[in-house]
Amino acid sequence: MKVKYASFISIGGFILLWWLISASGMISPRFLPSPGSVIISLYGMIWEPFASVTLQGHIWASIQRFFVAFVVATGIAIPLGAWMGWNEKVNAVVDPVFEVLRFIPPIAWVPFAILWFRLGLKSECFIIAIGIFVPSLVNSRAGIRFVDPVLIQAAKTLGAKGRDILWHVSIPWSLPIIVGGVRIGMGLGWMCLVAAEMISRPTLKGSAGLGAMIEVARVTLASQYIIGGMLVIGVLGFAMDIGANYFEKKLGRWREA
Amino acid sequence: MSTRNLSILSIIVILVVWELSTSILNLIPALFLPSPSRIVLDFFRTMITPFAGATFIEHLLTSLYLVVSAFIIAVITGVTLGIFMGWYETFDRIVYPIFQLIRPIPPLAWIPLAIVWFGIGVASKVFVIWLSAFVPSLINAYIGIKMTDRTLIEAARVYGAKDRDLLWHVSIPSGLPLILTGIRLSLSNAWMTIVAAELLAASAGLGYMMQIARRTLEPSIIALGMLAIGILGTLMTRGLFILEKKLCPWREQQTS
Repeated sequence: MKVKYASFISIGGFILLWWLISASGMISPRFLPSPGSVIISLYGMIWEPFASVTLQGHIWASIQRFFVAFVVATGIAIPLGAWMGWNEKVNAVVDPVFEVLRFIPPIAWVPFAILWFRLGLKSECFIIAIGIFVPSLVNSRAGIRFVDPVLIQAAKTLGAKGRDILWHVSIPWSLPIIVGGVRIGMGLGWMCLVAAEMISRPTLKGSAGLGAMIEVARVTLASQYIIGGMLVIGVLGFAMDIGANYFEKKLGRWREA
Repeated sequence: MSTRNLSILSIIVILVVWELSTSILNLIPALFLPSPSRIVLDFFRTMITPFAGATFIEHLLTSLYLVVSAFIIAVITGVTLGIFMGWYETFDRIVYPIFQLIRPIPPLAWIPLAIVWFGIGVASKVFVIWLSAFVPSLINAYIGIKMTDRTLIEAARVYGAKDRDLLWHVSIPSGLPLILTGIRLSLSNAWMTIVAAELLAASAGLGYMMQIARRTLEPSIIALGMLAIGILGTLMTRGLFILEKKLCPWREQQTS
């Protein structure tokens, strides 16, 4: 059997089994809605708002939050990480604090985020940003620190100064590693987004965001919307990862040659 | 100044500035950022007098118990399934696509469904922690088995090894470093998930303690919970790392 067909059969079989179980009535649709009802609910949400927002409204709200957090987190983490990798002294000053903070899971910041920024956009962005921040910084530092010494020696022989080496050797060399870290951070940040929205949003009226959507669906026992929301979260996260992976491969291509 | 001294100085300066600005000079309101001394005091206070229905140790043990039990189940199921998938081609082709379909959904996004399925109790938390910890164990075991050096397998075959011997004496030992790394990743995932699960729905545990402290506006207890989670998570991960080095001393040295 060819690999390609095998995947189709396997996924087809999985959906068929799901559909059979839900159609047999063994499990109440409250607990396991049929695949069809999930798709229909999602489709219907394009016009009919659920949790007072349409599907595209929830998606847009989540993407906006993610984007703001992404810009802030990478904007601080990459330069700081690169600086720490470049200058031992900077690293010695910042590292002890960073080491203590990095092992606290981003979600554990939720109570403080709410105290500091109140419920809403800022506190959610803060949590997402922490998720993106840590791997981005770790990889930026490692990338700059572990540049192939032969390349640095070669550049020095050709008369390059410290700054030239940083901009023309270290940064281009470590770019794929940095992007790799950002990619890990994006995965973590996406998960934090869902959690942050679940924890902080549903207390507000007209709460938008995919995490809020599945939490509202839980409270109202509309499990077809929970699964539908999970699917959308999964698909968006997957698409983001593919994009980042493409970027990473493209930047790293010259190194394999 | 040596980098080591610089690091020590950095910690001291931060602690002193933090203490001064929060408790003595009152530059930052205590509601915003608790002082280090307050956190230490609250640590001792909550050891004796219960906070949110339990002492600090009881909250900690509740969380620890959940994490450890779900983690153990996750490692056993994840590694076994990963080895099966890596070893049996047909099984792999059936299971892998389904796994790939479900994997992009972040484990924390399962929390609402888990609550609908299992209610607000131990079962839903164990389920979500299991789900998050299961994935890295499975993937690494799978890759570890799949990436067994062909030469090793051929060599063992030449000496007359049967399939079963190949799995037990070649593939599993050669994949062990990867498998152990996966187990370590599983543990940190488990810690992250328990916090989220307890923040959303619990009646005891560190996450619950922090959530109550937020409502009663006692940020020092929130900070205490965060530190406890960070320190416990680090200690357990470090422990696994040491175990990893002991079990496979031949593994390549890891950087960073």
